[in-house]
Amino acid sequence: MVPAAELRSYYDRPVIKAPVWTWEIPWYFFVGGLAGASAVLAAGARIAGQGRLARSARLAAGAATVVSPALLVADLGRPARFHHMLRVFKPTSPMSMGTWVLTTFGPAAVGSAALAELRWLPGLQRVAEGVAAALGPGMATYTAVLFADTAVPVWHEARRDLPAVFAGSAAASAGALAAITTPPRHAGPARRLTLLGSALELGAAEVMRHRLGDLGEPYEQGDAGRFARASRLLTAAGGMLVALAGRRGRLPAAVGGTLVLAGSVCQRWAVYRAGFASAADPRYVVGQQRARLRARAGAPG
Amino acid sequence: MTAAVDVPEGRRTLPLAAPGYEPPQPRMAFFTDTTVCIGCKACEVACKEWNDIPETPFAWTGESYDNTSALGANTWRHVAFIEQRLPQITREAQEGRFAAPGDERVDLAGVGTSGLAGDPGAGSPGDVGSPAGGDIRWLMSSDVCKHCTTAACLDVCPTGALFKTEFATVVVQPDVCNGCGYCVPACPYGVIDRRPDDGRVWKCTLCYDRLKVGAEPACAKACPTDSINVGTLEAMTTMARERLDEVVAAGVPGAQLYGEPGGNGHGVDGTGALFLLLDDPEVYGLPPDPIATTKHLPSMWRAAAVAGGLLLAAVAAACTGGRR
Amino acid sequence: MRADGRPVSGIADLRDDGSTSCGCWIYAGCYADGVNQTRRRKPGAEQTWVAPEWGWAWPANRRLLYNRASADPQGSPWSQRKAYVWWDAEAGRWTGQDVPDFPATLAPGTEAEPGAQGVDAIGGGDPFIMQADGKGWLYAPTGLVDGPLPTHYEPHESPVATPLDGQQANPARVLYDRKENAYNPTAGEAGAEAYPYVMTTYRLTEHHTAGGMSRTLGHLAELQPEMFCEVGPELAAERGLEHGGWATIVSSRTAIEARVLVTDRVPVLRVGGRTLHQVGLPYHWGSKGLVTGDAANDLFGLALDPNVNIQEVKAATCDVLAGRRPHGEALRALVERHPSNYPAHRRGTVTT
Repeated sequence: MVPAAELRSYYDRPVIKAPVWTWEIPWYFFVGGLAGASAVLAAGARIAGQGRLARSARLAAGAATVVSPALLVADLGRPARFHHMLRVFKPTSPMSMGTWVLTTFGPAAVGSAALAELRWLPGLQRVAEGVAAALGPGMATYTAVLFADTAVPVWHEARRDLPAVFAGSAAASAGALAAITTPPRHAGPARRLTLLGSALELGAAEVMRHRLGDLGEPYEQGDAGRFARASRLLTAAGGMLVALAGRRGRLPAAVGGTLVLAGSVCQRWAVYRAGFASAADPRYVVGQQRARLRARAGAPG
Repeated sequence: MTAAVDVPEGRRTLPLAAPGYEPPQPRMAFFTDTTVCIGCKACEVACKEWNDIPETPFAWTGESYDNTSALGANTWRHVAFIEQRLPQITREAQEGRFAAPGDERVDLAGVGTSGLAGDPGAGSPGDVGSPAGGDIRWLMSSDVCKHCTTAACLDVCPTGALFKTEFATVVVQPDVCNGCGYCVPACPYGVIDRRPDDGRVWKCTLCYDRLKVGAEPACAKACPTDSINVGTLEAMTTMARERLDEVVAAGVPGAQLYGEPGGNGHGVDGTGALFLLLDDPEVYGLPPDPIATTKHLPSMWRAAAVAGGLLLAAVAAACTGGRR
Repeated sequence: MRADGRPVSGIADLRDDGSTSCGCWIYAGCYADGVNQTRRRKPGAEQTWVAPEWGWAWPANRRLLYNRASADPQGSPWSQRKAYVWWDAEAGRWTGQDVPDFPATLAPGTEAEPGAQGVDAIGGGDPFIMQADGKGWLYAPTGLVDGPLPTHYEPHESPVATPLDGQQANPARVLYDRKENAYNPTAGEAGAEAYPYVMTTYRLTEHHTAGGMSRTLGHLAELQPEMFCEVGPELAAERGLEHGGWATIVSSRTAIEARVLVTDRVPVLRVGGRTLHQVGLPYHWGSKGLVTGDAANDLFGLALDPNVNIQEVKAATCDVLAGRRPHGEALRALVERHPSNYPAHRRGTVTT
């Protein structure tokens, strides 16, 4: 049992520091995931010859991409120094890699949308769309690595599953937004993506919680627990609604899509808050490390 | 006065110690011997004075004599105070140390004891006396940045503000840091933190400026009992092991080294700050098996690639099914 | 330090011809052989029980002054079990566990010449070499207001009767028995039960005396930011004190408030057949500075030692109540009414 009662601590104080990040980060994770998956959807729809849907997804990717850097910069302790991120290319830092992904993806996604709307330079627009689509999965999943590469037990120990959760959540949100903004008769792929993404998100989250075991306790309790439950409910209900009733009209698609989007936001908030709870309680940090030591020593338990 | 910073022969660095510096410098390290710490907090004050660190909020904690609570942006040395009541601890060690050989036992009644267990006065037939009962011990330990060989804070820093000096210490460049905060939860020891009114992260530099001119760090200079020692990692490791042997031979229970690459410093490939503790690390607020999570980055990127692939597959599947 | 830069090995190396220099004679030798002798840390288990190689003590690394007194006039230890310094007749010099604090070759039977001056007036049986007659004085007929023989007295305020004889406290102590300096009744006096605990004051390393200087410095104020009292768990239970909460400490002078630190470090004493609780009070706070708090010294009355007129602030009696104190008139009323909270039938039950 990880949070065993006999675990000792220094006046119950945290062993590791909780992140100093604020509300911008979970929102950025959501918006970045939405942008990345939308860019992929845009390319997919275009290849499948579904121009109307491609346009919705392209615009979604472009708009989300405009918002996301603002959220990132606002969270910095020294926002005026955001460009210091660009002085190194550092594979050991998921944030550095993410910065470069965003720096490349951003202009591509925005450029693709703008050029397509303005009907300028179709060749360049295609290239931009391709670049954005290629980097889209990175946009959707690097943030999971960013969280996993910390000493926060509930994040680091979920390192195998967190990217799938984020990828599913991103796909669901991209599908949902496209289902809302696209006339139902053009939105079949978006609805299917919503359903597939929701399923991936819910399934991966379930696997993650199961594999975390006692470390996953924060997902049951407090703020994180509330967000996790809300996310499950909203994503499941919204996904079903979009899939079953989305084709019948814009209203069910809008309602279902909104629920899925909200579920996706809650998913990021659940992960984000669970990290804080996990870092704040020395039982998780010490318990998990003691368990690791016991396992290494080959002792039972 | 002290020769602590003098470099003994054999200028050797550990692998990964401080790559890129020519000629290689010996890796510098702390050895904090908590067995002789008296909890004076001179290290905390000297550190803040030398490094011009603002004070923390004034908050009385009731946690023994510790009111700064933890390492942070404004506390680069932190003295922990742990009060323990241990039934058999130290009494025999004390007798072994202070009694003359072959002499009758020196009466230590009342020395470092608190007779709160059981009936006060039991076993004390005299009119005035210290009641029998469990001894207590008051552990004190000055914590500091571990200056890890594989430093997660440094690895995840996206601006290059954190770097490894020629002494293989880990230092933040305040003119580069943009306060992204990634290093804060990355540190497995909870050392580095962001200063709210400043926006940048701060932590112990092992007094980089003082090392540069051959002076020992301010905390070590101020330590009146030589609990804090500074020297090459090699010298500190030797000192720590010798001291551990002494303490174990003296029968002090719970003595253990903290931070060795072959021990509980394994997950960070050894630290540049060794400690001799008298109880398990977590009792001092230290992680028992810390790890630089960047070591798992390849598997994390693989998982991300798989997840990205799933995203692509989902889109592909969704788009192949026709418009409706 | 010698003129050539080598450290002197002891006091005896010092010269008045300018060939040596010394900042403080008692420290001469602390750098003998160029080694910082004060930095030695050889564990006690690896040397004699006197542990001469742990650090260094002035003067001359001597651990007990006047240690020739551990041997009888003939130079043999008073007790073989406690042998410390003795006369080695064969070698013709003093030896022992410690550095002898005596002229090294002055044999036990040696008589000083009549009329000799200074060190020459010390005989072989006179251990107290810094005194004019070389003797330690138990009987001190002059120079002290009290005496002539040493004895034990209880403090002016004590919860226990002296176990020694009928004289409870020093009869020569200086008292100011007036309203603004009221005293708690001591053991055996009516009303003593209203102040059942012993309080004492002490310093913390983090502050300087009453804190006037250190409370204005952030780097010190943060280390001990608030007035607190230290009590054992039994006293806390007896008075309903909560760790981290507040306590009011009451004497006949005033009452102060302090945060409660319940700690095993404060032992329960058993004195005179009864259990005695103690209250520890750091005395670094006052009304000014970055951190403020009640001043422990306000609790203490002026009862002076007759010889040097130092007030008794290390031991007095008090009561402890849970919670914070009132202010202004209400505080005055609390202090004045305090004894009446102890009914007469309870007064008789307290044994002293």
